Amino acid sequence: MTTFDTALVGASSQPPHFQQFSNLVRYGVAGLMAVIGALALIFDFPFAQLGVFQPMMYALGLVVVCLVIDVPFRKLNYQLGMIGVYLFGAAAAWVAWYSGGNWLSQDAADFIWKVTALFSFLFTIAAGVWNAPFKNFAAKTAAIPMMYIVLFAFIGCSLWTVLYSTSDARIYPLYTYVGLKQYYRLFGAEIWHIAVKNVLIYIALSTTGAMVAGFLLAVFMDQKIRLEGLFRTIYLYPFALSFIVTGHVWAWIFSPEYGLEKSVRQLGWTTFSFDWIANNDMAIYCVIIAGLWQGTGLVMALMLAGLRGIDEEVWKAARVDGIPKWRTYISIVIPMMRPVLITTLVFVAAGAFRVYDIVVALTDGGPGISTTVPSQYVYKYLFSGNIGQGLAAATTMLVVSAVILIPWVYVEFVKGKQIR
Amino acid sequence: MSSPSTNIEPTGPRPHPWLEWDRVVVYAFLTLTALYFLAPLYIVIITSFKDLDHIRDGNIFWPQTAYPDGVHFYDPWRRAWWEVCTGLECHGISPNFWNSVKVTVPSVIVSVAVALTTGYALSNWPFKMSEAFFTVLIVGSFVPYQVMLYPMVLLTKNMGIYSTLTAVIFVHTVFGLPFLTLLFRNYFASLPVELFKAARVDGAGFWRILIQIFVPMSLPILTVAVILQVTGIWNDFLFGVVFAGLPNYPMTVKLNNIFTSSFGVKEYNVEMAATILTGAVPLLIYFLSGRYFVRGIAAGAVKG
Repeated sequence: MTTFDTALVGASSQPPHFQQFSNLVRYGVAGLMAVIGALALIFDFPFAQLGVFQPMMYALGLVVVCLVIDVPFRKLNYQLGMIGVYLFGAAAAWVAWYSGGNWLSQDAADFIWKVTALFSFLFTIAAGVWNAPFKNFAAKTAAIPMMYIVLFAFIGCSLWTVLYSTSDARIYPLYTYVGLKQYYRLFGAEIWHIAVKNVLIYIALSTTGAMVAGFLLAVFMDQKIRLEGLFRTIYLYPFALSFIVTGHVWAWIFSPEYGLEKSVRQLGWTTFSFDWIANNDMAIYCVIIAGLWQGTGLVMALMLAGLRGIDEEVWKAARVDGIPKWRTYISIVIPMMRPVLITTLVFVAAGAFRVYDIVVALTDGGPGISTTVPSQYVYKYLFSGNIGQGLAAATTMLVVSAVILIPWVYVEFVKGKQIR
Repeated sequence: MSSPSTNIEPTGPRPHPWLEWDRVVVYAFLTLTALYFLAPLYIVIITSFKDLDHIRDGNIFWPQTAYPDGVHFYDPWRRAWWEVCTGLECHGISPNFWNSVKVTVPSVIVSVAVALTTGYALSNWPFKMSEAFFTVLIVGSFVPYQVMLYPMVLLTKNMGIYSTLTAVIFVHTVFGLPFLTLLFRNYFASLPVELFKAARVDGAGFWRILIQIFVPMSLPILTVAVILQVTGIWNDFLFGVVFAGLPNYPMTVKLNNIFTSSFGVKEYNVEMAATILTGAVPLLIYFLSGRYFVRGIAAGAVKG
């Protein structure tokens, strides 16, 4: 490209930038900032002991970095914005250091300072690598809460969990590296084996059950029936309830001394037996029954929406060809509904994977430990003084769900959107 | 009237007889399944109106019709609302009802407002890396909450809000964002792009287009989002138990504690009344909003 071309392109599409430093320097400094930022995020360094010099050094450093990595400071608004962020950070630090918790609580002031500092770190890195934080400025400002949540809550918290799962943190989250010890312990624990087995049974049966029953209900609902609204309301109302409510309702029905077993015996069938909830091997199926009661309506609603999306012409063509109705459903409609089926399947399976509340309410892991699920295992260890062990289990859950989900999410929500 | 074209033979499809066997099968199947879905609600409601003697001796299928002197059919409900104990504290479930209200209202407002703006920015003003952020957000919404639970506890402790209602509101805003953003992004993407372009040509900027054009047009999806958030936040258990702290427990947590920590005689009728009270708000919203509820779920899941 000739100088002339570059000048032309630059003039038409790019705002004027300082072009003083090579890309190598820019990326180098930005990378350094990224490393410092990551260290700060993970190890609480260098903010642990907040002194008066720290904010000053920090502001000075940022100005230098901004000059080096070529932030377009020409526009007055951008300059003011940048200076405002730094002043705010310095003010927060000052409040935290001098007020001694008078105006703001020490924790809150400390936190504001940390977040502001980290934000301006990240902002500066973005200015260097991304080199365009000022393009489309309003949209990026509006998306700041989302970026914060993605960076801190989803990525940051997950990374913290992964990192501290290699520590032997007990009551306090202190980091001492112990390698994979927590994982050896996890995979050797009998209760974890039970939990994994339970969640696999739960995912397999509740997913299949909800899909089959939901599809069947949707097909029957799709026969141009009267009172469709009423039936749909009835099938779907359990979905509006809390899992806690569902769990306790079904616990009452399953209860051998007061529930179904006693009442059926009273009606005359004296040998009737239904004590699954008190039975180590069968209690998990009680959870599945309750879960299906709550979740089938949702699948039905989704399937019905899918069925309604199928062109009437398809039905006419099948009828002209003399294909029986059931055959049309199996050979034509189901293949056409593949996207809906897959989406529903992922939704239901992801819900089943994180099953927690309903087990707490229905059996609380009992009888004994026979219906424990992984989420419960994590919770139990996190809040009973064995953080490292809980985090190892959480990391295992994270890895499993990430491996399954990332390709699907990419295809379904990101790539697919662009093709359509 | 004897022209050859007047044919007395019937044409067109045969009229349906009043009773067809396949219709009978369809309705029988639907009615039976509907009864199965309704049975637990029926059982819980009649149980909540029984006295303890009747619960011990009677049948769960039949309601109690006669009450002994001094016993009223509404006693369990009164006890559940004002009197039932967990541990040493005996104020019933009503304080926790208000806790739930205090959590739900601000969480819904904040999370919907943030998600509306974010969805609008993502669909109409895409910027570099916006798709990457969005992908992480969606993946994050499917990851079990337990993974991010403990760091979130530390985060809220750092902010000085741990074990207050503010912490619960904060956490609901964070974890409600992915699904709501998806909802709004898809809705805004389905609006005609000419609208947006015309506003741009007329010189409206990011915020002006949002407030004067997109917010008024997003009323249907706004309703859906509010309904989903109200029921979702009301029904939450995990965040309430972890972030709220004992005096601030929302209704679901209190309900679970009523079941697990009662001393002496277990009052099954009171427990069932508390269960219905806890489920009442989302059920009411569901029955009132019916169609929007279904549409919201379908919009989030099917359109993708």
